[in-house]
Amino acid sequence: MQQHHNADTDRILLETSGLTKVFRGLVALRDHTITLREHEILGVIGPNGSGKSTFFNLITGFSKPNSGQISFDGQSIAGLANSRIVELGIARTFQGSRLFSSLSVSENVLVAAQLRHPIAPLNAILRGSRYYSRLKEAQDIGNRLLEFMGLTAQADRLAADLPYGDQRRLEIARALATEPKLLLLDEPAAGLDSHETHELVSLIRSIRDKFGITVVVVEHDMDLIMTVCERIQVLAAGEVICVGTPEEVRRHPRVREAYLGYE
Amino acid sequence: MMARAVTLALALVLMAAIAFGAPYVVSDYMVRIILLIALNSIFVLSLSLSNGFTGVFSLGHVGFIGAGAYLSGILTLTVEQKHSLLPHLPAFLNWFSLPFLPATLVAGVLMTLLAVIVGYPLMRLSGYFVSVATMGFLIIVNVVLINASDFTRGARTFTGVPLDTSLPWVFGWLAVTLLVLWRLVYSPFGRRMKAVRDDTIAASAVGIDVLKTRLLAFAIGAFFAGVGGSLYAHYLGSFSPVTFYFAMTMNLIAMLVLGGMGSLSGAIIGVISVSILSELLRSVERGFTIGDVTIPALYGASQIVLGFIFILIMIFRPKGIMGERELSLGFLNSSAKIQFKQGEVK
Repeated sequence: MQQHHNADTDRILLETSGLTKVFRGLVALRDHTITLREHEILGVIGPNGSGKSTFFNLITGFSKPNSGQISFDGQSIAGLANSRIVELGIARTFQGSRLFSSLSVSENVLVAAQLRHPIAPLNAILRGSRYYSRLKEAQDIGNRLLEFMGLTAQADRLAADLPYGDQRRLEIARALATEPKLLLLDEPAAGLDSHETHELVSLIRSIRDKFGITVVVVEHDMDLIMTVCERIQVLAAGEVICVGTPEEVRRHPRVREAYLGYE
Repeated sequence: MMARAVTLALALVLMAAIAFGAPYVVSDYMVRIILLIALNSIFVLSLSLSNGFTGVFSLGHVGFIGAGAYLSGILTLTVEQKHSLLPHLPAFLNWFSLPFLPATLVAGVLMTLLAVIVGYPLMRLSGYFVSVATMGFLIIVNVVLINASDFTRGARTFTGVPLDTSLPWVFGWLAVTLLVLWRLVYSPFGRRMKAVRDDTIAASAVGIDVLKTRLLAFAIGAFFAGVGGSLYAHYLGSFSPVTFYFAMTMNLIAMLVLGGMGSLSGAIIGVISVSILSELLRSVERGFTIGDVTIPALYGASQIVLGFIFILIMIFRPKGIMGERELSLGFLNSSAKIQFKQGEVK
C-alpha cells in the first residue's frame, strides 16, 4: 500500500530567517529565509558559489551562522553540534562520496542505525540481553534499508569496492538509517548516467512517500530538480532570488538571467 | 564471527596452558621471554585501540605505562622501604602498603582518569597533530618523573618493588585485556571507532560524537597501559624514568605496525615476531662456530638486520602482517559466511 503524502499539511518542519554566513569577509549566504513544510520535496539550485552548500552546512551544524535563526520541529538549532542535530532528525549526504571505506556495506548502514539503538561500551563488554536486542533492532533497520536500495546482494562487500552508483545509494541508505525527519541530499545526481538519474527521481519520491520524510535536494541537474521537486528555491551569489513551483521559477526573469540563461 | 569467537576461546585456553605449564617445560630464560612477550602484548593491544582502530596515532602511550609503573611501585613498597627510600613522601602515602592486585587496579583507574583529562583537549586533533601532541604528553611525564624526586627518587633508580609479577599474573591480565578489547572492537562501539577512523565528517553526520568515541578508546587503552605498567614494575623490581621513554615507544609502535594496525591477533603476532627475531639475532651476533667455520661476534648486527626486516615487511606488506584480518581457523570461516548471509550477526 502506497500512501501518498503531499505538502498539504500546514505543519512547518524547518524555518530559517535572516541566516547569514561570512567567510573572511566574503558573504557566502546573506539573509537566507525558507519555510519548509512537512512531507515537502524542496529543490535548491544556483550556480557554483551561490551558497547552496553553505545552506546545508549551517542547517546540519557543520558550520555556525554569523547571524539568523534556524528552527527545526519547533526548536532552535542554530549553533548546535552536528551530532546533536542528527539526533534531532536531520540527516544528510555529501557531494561526491564519504563512505566508511574499511567497513562493509551492511556495517556502513548499521553504524548509522546505532544512533537510535545505542549500545554503551560497558554493555558491549558485558553483553547482557539488552546488547543482543539492540543489535537486532539495528540489524533489522539495516536489512530493510539495504533491501529498499537493492544492495542486499552487496551486503558483505567493502563499501570502497562498490561501483559509484551503488556508493551513492549506500550513502542515502546510511543517512536514512539515522531515522531522520528531514533528509538533505547534496548533489545526488552528480556523476550518475541518465538511467541512474531517472531511478534517483523515483527513489527520492519513494523516500518521501514510504518513509514520510521531508527532502531537500541541492542539485545542478535542472531536469532532476524540475521533475522531482514541488517547490524550488533559487540562490545566486549568496542571496535568495526566488522561491516557487517549477513553473514559477522557470518563468522568473532573474532566474533566466542568473541561471537558466546559461543553458 | 563464530570462527573468531572459537579462535579467541582457543587462544585463551592456550594462554592458560602456557601460563601454568611453561615453567615445568622450558628454561628460566625462555620463561622470561614468554613473560615479556605476554607483557608487551598487553602494551601493544592497548595501544591498538587508539592507534589502530580509532585512527588516533598516539605517541604518548608509554607515558601511561611509566606513570602506572611508578604509581603502583610507590603503593606496594613496604612502610619501612618508604621511610628509607622515599623519606620525603607525603604523609598520606607513607603509612600503608597495598598488595599487588589492588595497586595494579589503582594504577589502571588513575591512568584512565589521566587519559580523560589529557585526551579532552588532545582528542580534538587529528593526523600528525595528535601524534606530536601526545608525544608532548610523554615528554611531560618523563620530566615529572625525573623532577618529582620525593615520589620517584628522580633520575636515580627506583628500587625495592616486590617481584610479584609471575606468568599466571601476566597471562591473566593479558586474557582480560584481550577479552575486553575483542568485545569492544567487534561490537557496535568498535564499528563507531572504525567509522571515526575512516572519516570524521561522515561519522558526525550519522550522529557519532567523534570526541567522545576517541576519548573512550584513548582512556580504555590507558587503563590497560596502567595495568601493564604495574606488571612491568613488579617484574623489573627497579627502574628509572628512561625505562619508559622513546626507546620503549618506538619498540611498541614497531610491533603494532608490523603486526597490523587493525587486528588484535596482528598486535600479538607483531609482538611475538619482533621479540623472537631480536632474541635470535642477539644470540647470533655473539658469534658461533659451525664445523670449521667460525663466525666472529658482530655486535650491533642484530639491530641492523632487524631494521632491514622492518623495511622489507613495510615494502611487501604495508598494512602489516595481518592487516585488518584476524587470525582465524579457515574451515570455521566458511560457516560464518553462510550465517552472515542469513542476515544474522552474532
